[in-house]
Amino acid sequence: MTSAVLSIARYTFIEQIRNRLYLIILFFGGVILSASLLLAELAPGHRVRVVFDLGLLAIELFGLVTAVFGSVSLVLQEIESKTIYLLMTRPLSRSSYILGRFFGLLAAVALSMAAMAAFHVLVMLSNPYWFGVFTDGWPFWSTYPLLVLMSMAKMLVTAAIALFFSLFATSSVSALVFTGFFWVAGHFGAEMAFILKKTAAGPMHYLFKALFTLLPNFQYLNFRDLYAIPGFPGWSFMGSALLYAAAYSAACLALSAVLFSRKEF
Amino acid sequence: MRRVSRSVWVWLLTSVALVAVAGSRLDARLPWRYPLPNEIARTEHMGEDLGWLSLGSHRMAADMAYIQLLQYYGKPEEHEGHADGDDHADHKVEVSPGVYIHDAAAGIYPLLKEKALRVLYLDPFFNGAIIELGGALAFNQKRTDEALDYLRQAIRLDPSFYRYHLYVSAILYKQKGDDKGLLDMLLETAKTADCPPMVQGLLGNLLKKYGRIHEAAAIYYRMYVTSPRVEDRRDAAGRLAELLLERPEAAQGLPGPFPL
Repeated sequence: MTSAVLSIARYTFIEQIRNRLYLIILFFGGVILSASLLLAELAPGHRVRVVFDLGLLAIELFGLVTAVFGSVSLVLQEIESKTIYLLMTRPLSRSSYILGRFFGLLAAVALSMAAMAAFHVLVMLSNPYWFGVFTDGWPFWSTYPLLVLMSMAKMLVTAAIALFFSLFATSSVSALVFTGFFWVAGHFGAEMAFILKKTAAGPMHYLFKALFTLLPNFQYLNFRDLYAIPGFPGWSFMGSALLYAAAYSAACLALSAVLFSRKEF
Repeated sequence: MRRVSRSVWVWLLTSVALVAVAGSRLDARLPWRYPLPNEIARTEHMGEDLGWLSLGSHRMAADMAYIQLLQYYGKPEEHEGHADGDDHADHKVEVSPGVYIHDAAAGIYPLLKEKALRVLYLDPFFNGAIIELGGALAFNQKRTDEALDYLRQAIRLDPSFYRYHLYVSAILYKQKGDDKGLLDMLLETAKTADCPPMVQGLLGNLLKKYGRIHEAAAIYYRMYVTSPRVEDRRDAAGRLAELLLERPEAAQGLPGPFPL
């Protein structure tokens, strides 16, 4: 099973990095990261902070576009082009196929994010003096890779959700809309918890509770904002957050495998 | 319909259980201290701010709010007694008797506090900008009550940042006209690397007033070397040149020849 998953992951990875959309996203990622220097000029006292924040956000958003569009078309495209029939004639379990496709896509997304992150660091280093002022008093070199890693964990969850919806909705557009809704709602986890506390027991309370339980809470993974909070627990919190991301995406993948297993080819 | 293998169901149930366990652990320890959107959404930029927040970026939202504030504060609009577009680059503000600071953006900016609050509520940990804006309200705009209220809100949102307390004390000394107390407080705040240029300029002027010319020269020099804005560097150069012309002995102890 493992070798089948790896083979499918390898061809998915190659397919993704040869995709024109992937290269266009990488190009625009580079353009936005460079353009952040212009925006930074408007905040003279906080130049590197602007480049830092805009860069991390851009890396995440371009990663998101790659992950979501890739996931939505991952299986649907093969069904539409009927190449899936060929694959299904092989001694390959459907869950292995789903896992292989997913991990291949994820590797391509991680590669693009890592490339953008490397370029982002170079952009920040373009002004060594202000970079030194910005990084004074906190361990930039050990923190930055963790911030990118946690953005990748968000992509893991989002890609799994998109894959599930692509099989559930069987339409790219509705899968994109549902995933977009989960992405946005997932960033208001603390707010939903607040509303939950404020609403008395009743239908609305249970509706919010169900939503709160069902939706991913991206604030656990949002280290771009979390790391700046004084007293942030860091490593120990990160372990649980990574476990949460892995478990949530595993649940979505299991549901995708169930849906895919029930499809008739 | 094809049967789903049992291992997939086990996989699903195990994942759901792990999500529940990890989620409850994280809920208990999530140190989320950013204000809720109902506190943030108080300006005309509500839609824009919520847009950034929906992308999970309080920090970027605050950066944009700060840039918009600088554009507002840098404009000569509502400049008292002058038509729009007047050049007021040499405007001086008297911050305490006989002590002036240069203020490139002198004028009346009625929305300054509101815009500063927007930055504060989007990212209460943007300490450098918050101090700068509190200082602009207190020392440039002479709106000490507003500055105190602003910094008190900043302290409520991030009590761990002790320098807010120093600035509050400095503003209170200024309000009472106690130059000595103000000087001591500013000397304390100037020990940190991110002390705003405007505060450095004020400190230099107070030191000069009390005859501590070597310290005044050193602080002007530091302001010249470290200020990110060209206007602040030009201002620092002017003040240092003025001091050196009046008292050439103040140059002793400066790190090197003054690069005029």
